[in-house]
This record gives sequence, structure tokens and C-alpha cells, in this order.
Amino acid sequence: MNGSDSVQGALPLLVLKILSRRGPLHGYGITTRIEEISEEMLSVEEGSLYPALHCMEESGWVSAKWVITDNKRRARVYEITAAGRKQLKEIEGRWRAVTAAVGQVLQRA
Amino acid sequence: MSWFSRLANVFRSDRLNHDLENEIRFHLDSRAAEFRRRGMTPAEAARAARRQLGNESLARETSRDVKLLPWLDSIVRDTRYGSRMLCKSPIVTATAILSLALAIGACTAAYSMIDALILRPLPVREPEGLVYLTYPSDRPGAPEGDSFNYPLFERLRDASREKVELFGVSWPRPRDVTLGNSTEKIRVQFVSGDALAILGVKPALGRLLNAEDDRYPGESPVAVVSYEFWMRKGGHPDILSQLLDYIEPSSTTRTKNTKRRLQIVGVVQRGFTGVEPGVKVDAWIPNMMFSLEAFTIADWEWLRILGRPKSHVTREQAQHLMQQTLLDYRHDHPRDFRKQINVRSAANGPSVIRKAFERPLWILAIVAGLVLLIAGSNVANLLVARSAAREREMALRLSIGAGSLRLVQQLLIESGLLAGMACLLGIGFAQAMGPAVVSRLLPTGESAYLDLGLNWRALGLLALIGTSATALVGLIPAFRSSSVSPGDVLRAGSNRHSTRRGLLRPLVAAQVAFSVTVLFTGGLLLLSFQKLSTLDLGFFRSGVVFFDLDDLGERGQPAALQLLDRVRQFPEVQAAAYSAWALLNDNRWISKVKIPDRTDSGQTYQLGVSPGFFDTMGIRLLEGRDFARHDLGPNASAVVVNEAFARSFFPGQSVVGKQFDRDRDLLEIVGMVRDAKYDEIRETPSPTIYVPLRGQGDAVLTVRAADAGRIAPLLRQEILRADPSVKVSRVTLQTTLIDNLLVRDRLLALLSGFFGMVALLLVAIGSYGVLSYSVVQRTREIGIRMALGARAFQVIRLVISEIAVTVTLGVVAGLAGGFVLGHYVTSLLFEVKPGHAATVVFPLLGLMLVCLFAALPPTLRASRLNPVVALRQE
Repeated sequence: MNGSDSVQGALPLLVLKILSRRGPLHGYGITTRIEEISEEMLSVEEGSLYPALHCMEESGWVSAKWVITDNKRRARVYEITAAGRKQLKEIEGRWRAVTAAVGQVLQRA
Repeated sequence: MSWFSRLANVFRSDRLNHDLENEIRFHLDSRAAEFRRRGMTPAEAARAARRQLGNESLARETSRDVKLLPWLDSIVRDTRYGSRMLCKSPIVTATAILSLALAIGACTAAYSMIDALILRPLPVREPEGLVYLTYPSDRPGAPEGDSFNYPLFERLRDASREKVELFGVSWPRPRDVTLGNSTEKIRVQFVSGDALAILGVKPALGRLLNAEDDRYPGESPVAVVSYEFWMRKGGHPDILSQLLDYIEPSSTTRTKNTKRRLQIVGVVQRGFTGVEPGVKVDAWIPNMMFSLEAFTIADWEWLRILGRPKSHVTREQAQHLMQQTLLDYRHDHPRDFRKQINVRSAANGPSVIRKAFERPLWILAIVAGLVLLIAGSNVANLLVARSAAREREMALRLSIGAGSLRLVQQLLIESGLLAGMACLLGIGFAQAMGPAVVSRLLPTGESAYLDLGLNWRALGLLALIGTSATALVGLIPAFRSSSVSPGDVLRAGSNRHSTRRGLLRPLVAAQVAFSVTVLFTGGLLLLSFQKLSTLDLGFFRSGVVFFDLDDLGERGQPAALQLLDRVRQFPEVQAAAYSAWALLNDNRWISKVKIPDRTDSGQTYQLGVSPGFFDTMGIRLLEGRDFARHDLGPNASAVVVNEAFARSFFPGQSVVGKQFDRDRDLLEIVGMVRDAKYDEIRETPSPTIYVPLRGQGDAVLTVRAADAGRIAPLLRQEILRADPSVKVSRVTLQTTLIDNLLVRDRLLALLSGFFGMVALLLVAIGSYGVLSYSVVQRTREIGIRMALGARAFQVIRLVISEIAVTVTLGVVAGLAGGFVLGHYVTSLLFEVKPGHAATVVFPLLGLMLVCLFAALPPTLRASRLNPVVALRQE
């Protein structure tokens, strides 16, 4: 956690993006993917990952089912839904617009 | 996930919890495995994984709230918790539910009767537009009359044709009716041909009666039947081709019974059972099919007149019109006693039962309401006491962060559970009580019927009662508990009971007040009933049985007297005689009396009797002699009078040998007997003369026998064996006859007495609970006092004095309430006034005894407290 930044605000965006690229994953898998890809720069506050996942499940962006993993354990696996992809597109667009705007400000200020 | 699945999750939250936990566990285990791969020891790895996850239970709770409806979840959880708490003290819970249910049931039953009998409009078109005609009684204070004769009805109908559509209906009459080969006793009603059309009733099958059916006497033998009757007979359309046979009994002693055969022409709409609530009619017959004399004799008052004023006619205009017509009629019929006609609303139907029971039902409803209040405050008491016992639990929950609203919710749910269960049980009670009471509204042998089905009004009332019970029962303790300051309570030994007493006191006082009111009213009604049922009627109240013999007169006097002799020889029979009818049996014969050489005249009741009647009935002969056989001859003029007759016509004289005119016959008094009730139990003795029964038409064989009820059927068989040609149409016990006259009084006394008992019981439970609680609360104080040398009796005084003031206040308030309600009851009482000493003393004695009993256990417990133990407990 040390030295890495929290991604609270962008958590749904990251989760949806990862699920859309990498297929079904369980919560722990999502955490490790985010850390891996961001080369440990970003870390997920694990305590809030699950409420966020359940919230997205309630909203119908992801669906979840119990599966048996390779090491014979029951894990809850999340998969992005059509509504989730739509949502992803929307918030990704918004994120890009905001970061681009922030970038411009940083450049030109 | 949808709303629905969230709702579903509330009810399978165990699985949800399990899933959430598993998911997080999987996460922790995976993370720990990774840490182990990086070289940590298993214990370190597990710790680090947990640390990285942060607040695990917070995460779980947040997820839980996402996955279900938090408010509903808390309600479900509180309900589970509440029912667990209720099950923990089953006796308290059962008492609370039972007492509430009883009161709710009584309220609902009383209300549904009031609704069916008084409030509900008739199931016809625009019931609020219906009126009926009444006239003031000539006796002051007596209710208005509404029976008219046919000539007056015709006059009124014809005169008002342009402004009011009037129709006449007979009193519903019970008749044995035969359809096909099944005979059934139903009520039939003679109605004007256009009555059903004016009412706006529709046929379910065939046609209604119409004006054509009602033109000339005996011309149109048709009938329409009720939907229910049709259903009872199979509900086939071929009922329209069937014939209805019945016997119209002779209405005078001179005519014979008439057999009638009617063609069924229609079935009326479902739910219409006539214009009188409580009296269900199954067949309507045109007026013109009634006995012939009914249309000409002005003494026959057999019709009720109803009508519907045309839309532009106000009730005042209608009344004016009727009044004018009456004056016009009186011009031709100067003997008519009516002086005024009133037009009354018939929106909910004119009803004899309502007249008799409107006030009793309201009284019962009030009493039931009071009992409900007692039960409610009782349960509130129990909950206050219990919530006080749970004060530590509440304080603990408050101090670890439960919102006080949440505590209120929890207590409300608990009391809602109580009230809900009580309501359900109460519906059951009401369903059982209502019909049982309704079946007693009319004398035995006649069935009253009220539709007590749970309609939206009754259910609405129930919901209201349930809600207010919950509020009453739950809110007080709830706010008390939620306002506790955790610090104070958790600090052992803090003594704050004074505030609590402040709450319990009004509750107990109110309870006592309500129950005193209930007991007082119940006492009045019970005492009145007791007076009525032990009242000296002037004849035996029991041990006498009446056999109605049809057409005895047809067979001649000798045969009748022969039968009498045979009956007298039966071993069980102590005495036997004939009379024209039984006393107090709704038959009256009034004649004009004139004393020769005097100008004044008066009226007297009359009854035809055979020799031996006075002995059989137990009417004591005071002077002169009873009739003898020779008085039965056609020219004999012997008459026996009662004391009231002697008082009013021959004051201060011996009456035997005196003569007087009755309807132009000169009669000679041969004897005087004690006053006996003739028409009503409550009447003051009226002049009555007994004339020899010469044997015309029907007669009643009056038999005195020990154990009359048991041997009545045997006697009936013996009579038939003695004279096979005799027809016994009815057997009535004297006790039944009298019981029937006291139906209303018995019902009121029974129910109010019952409610009084319930009220006493509830007060006992209530004051026991409060005292026990106060002793528990003051354990420490009592312990200190005893340690300092207080005696047992001082402790007892301490405990008792607290409740004594409260009870006294309640008693005073209750008596005041009792007098108010008693005033309302007065018209139903017999020789009892609200100020009657017994009705004040007995409730108070009862209440004090009950309070004493209730106070005994807790007081003894207090006086036996061991100071050392008491103080160590704290």
C-alpha cells in the first residue's frame, strides 16, 4: 500500500474495464490485476472493493456466480453484462475527458 | 438484481450472510497464500492479509445493505427478536394477547352488529330517498307506532300519488311453506304490487310483482322469492314453474285457516332480504292475497307504509301532504286514534329489532370499548414494567450506538406483534360472538339474521383498533425506554424510579376508572335483570305448559270439556284448564267498560278462561268464586275481575255481585283475583276481566305439572291418544314464554356482567404487575429501610399507600363515568336507578377485593425482603 495511490473514485471504471478485457474474475483476481497492470502504482482498498462489486451487481452492470477454482475452492466470479459495457463506455469517456482537461490545465497553466 | 430479489434477500438473510462471509474468506485466503509465497510465515501472512483488507465487518455490513432493503431488514430482524422476547415470557404474552383479543373481538362484534342493524343502508336503489310513515304513540314515552290499516293506506296512497310513491308492506310473517315435497318455515311478506319496483330491486330471474298483481282480493296468486331461497331449493331456473303452498292461519276466532297456492313468478336480486334489517324475508306476496277482512276492517293495523318522494318533493312537503290526508280521513273515520303522521327516513329500513336493540348495542359497544381501553392500558403497563426490567439492555444498546429511533421501532414492533396477534384472535372471537348474540335478539323459535360478514368498514375499524392499540401499548413504553440515559442506568444502583411511577400511575388510575364504569353499568343491568326475573307476575313462573289446540271450538264444548277431564286424570298433571291464549303472549283483547248509572267509562283487558284456570296458573282468588261449569252456558253473565279493575271502577267497595256493561252486555262480577301481568312484564297492573271461554276457535290448554319441561312431550302424546282428532299446533313452556320477554334484558345483563368480570380480571393483572414492579424497583430502598429498623407493616404501608391513592382517584373518576353512562342506560332499567346503593357498593367491594388479592403477593414479598440480600443485589 505504501507509495501507491488509492483509486477509490475510479474503482468502478477500473473494475469494469478489467472485466471487459480479461473476462470473468473473482474479487481477489480483480485486485491483483489492477496492481499488476499499474505496476503496483495503484492499489485497491480491499475493504471497499466488495461493497462496490455488490453495488455494481445491484445496478446490473456485472453478474456473479459461484465457481470452483483450480485449487478446488469456491469463489465468486464476476462477469460484465451488456448494461455494464454501456456503462463502461460512458464513464470511460467521461474519465478521459476529465483527465484530458486536467492535463491541459497542467500543461498550459 | 431487482427490487424483488432484495426483498427476497431480507427473508433469506442467513444465506446472504454466509455468501458474503465466504467471498471475503476466499479473498483473505488467496492474499495470505500470496504473502506466504513471498516468504512470510503462515501466521504473519494471515495477519497481513487481514490488515490489508481493513474493516472486514464494515465491508460485509455495507454489502449487506446493498443487497437487501435495510429498513425492511431491520424490521424483520426486530420482528424475530421481538417474537423471541415475547416467547420468553409466555404467560405475560398470552395474558396480553388474550385480553386484547377479547376486547377487540367484543368491539368488532358489537360494531358489526351496529353496522348491520343501524348504519348500513338497505340494498336498494337510492336508499337515502326512502321514507316511512309513523305516528306518535298515545302513551307518553312509548316509541312511535308504524302499523296502519288498509283503508288509511289506500287514502294516503291515492292522495299523494303525484308527489310520493307510497307502498305498504305487511309485518314479515313466519309461515310453513311447501315447495314440491319439502316444507320449510320461512318469513313471507305481503307487499303492494309496485313495492319492489319503487324500492328499485331488480329481478334475478323472471319478473317482480307489479301493480297488476295487486288489484282485487284473491285474484292474483303469485309470489316472488329471495335469491337465497332459490339457492336453497337448488338454484334451477325451473323454480319459475313451481307452486308454493302455505296455510294462512285464521286471524280471528271465527274464520278458518286458508290454504293458499301461489305461482312463483320471479326471484329478486341477490342480497335483498326485505326492508327490515334483522328479519329476513324469503317470499313476497301481493297484498291482495291477504285475508279479505284486512282490506275493510279499520281495526286491522297490519301494514307499514314506505315510500319514495319524487325528486322535487321535500320531506316537509310530504309530511304536510300526509297530515292533510290524515285529517281528511279522520273526518270520515272519527274513531281513528292517529292525530299526526310523521315522515321518517327509511334509508336503513324500519326495524323492530333496531328499536329494541339500538341503545343496548351502543351500550355494549361503549362497554366493550372501555374494556378495550383497560386491556390496552394493561398491556401498556406490562410493557412499561418489562421495559423497565430491560432498561439495562436498552441502555447497553444505546451506549454501543443503536439509534434511539431504532429502539422505538423495536418496541413498536414488539407491541405491533402483540396487537396483530390480538387482532387476528379478536376476529375469531367476533366471528364466534356475533352470530351467537344475534341469534338471541329475537325470542326463541324466531331467528334473527344479520349479515355480519367482514366488510371494509369492519376491517377498517379493526385496523384502526389495531393501530391505536399498538400506539397505546407500544408508544408509551417505547419513548420511555428510548429516553433513558445510558450512563445513569448502567451505573448500578442509581435510583430513578420516581419518574417511572409518574407514568404508571395514570395508567392504573385510568384502568381502575374504566373498570369501575363498566362494573357500575353492568351492576345496574344485572340488578335490573335480577328484579325482572324474580318479579311477582301474579302467576307461576314455571311448572306450567301451554298446548295450542287448533279449532277446538269446531268440535263443540262437550268434547273440549271431556278432553280436559281426561287430561286432569293423567298422573303427572296437577291442574289443567283452557284459556283463549296464554298471558304475556302478545295477544290482547281490549273492551270498553261502563258502569250502570255512572257516566264514566274505561277500558279493560279481557281473557276467556275455563273453570280451574286461576288454580292452574296460580292466580290467587281473593274474593268470591271461580267459574263453574254452569257459567259456560250461552246466557250466563258471570265475570271475574282483577284488583286493578276493582280499584279503578269500584274503589273502596267489595266488587262481588256488582254489575257493569261490556260492549252492551251486562255482566255480573262473581269473583276477584290478584293482579296478573297481561301484556308486558314491565307494565303496571291494568284492569282485566276474565270471561268464561265458551269454546270458539282455537284455545290453549294450560297444564300445571311438576317438571313440566320433561313431561311436556309425553303429555302431548297422551293428549293425542286421548282425543286423536285434536291438533296440537304448538307446545310452549311458561318459562320459555317469560324468557322470551326478557331476551334483551338477559342479553344485556349477561354481556355486561361478563365484561365486568373481564374488567376486574384485567385490573387484577394490571395492579399485580405494577405493584410487583414497584417492589422490584424499590428493593434497595426497602432493604435500607429494613436495615434501619423499619417493621414489616411499615414496608407494607409504603407499598400499598403508593397504589391506594391511585386506585381511589380512579374509583372517583370511574363512578362519575358510571353515572354518565348509567343515565343513558336508565330507559332500559327496571326499578333500578343509577344511584342505587348496591350498584355502587358491589363494584367497589369487588374492585377492592380484587386489588387486595393482586397486591398480596408483591406486598408479602416486600415485607419478607432480607435487607442483607436486598442490598447485596445492587
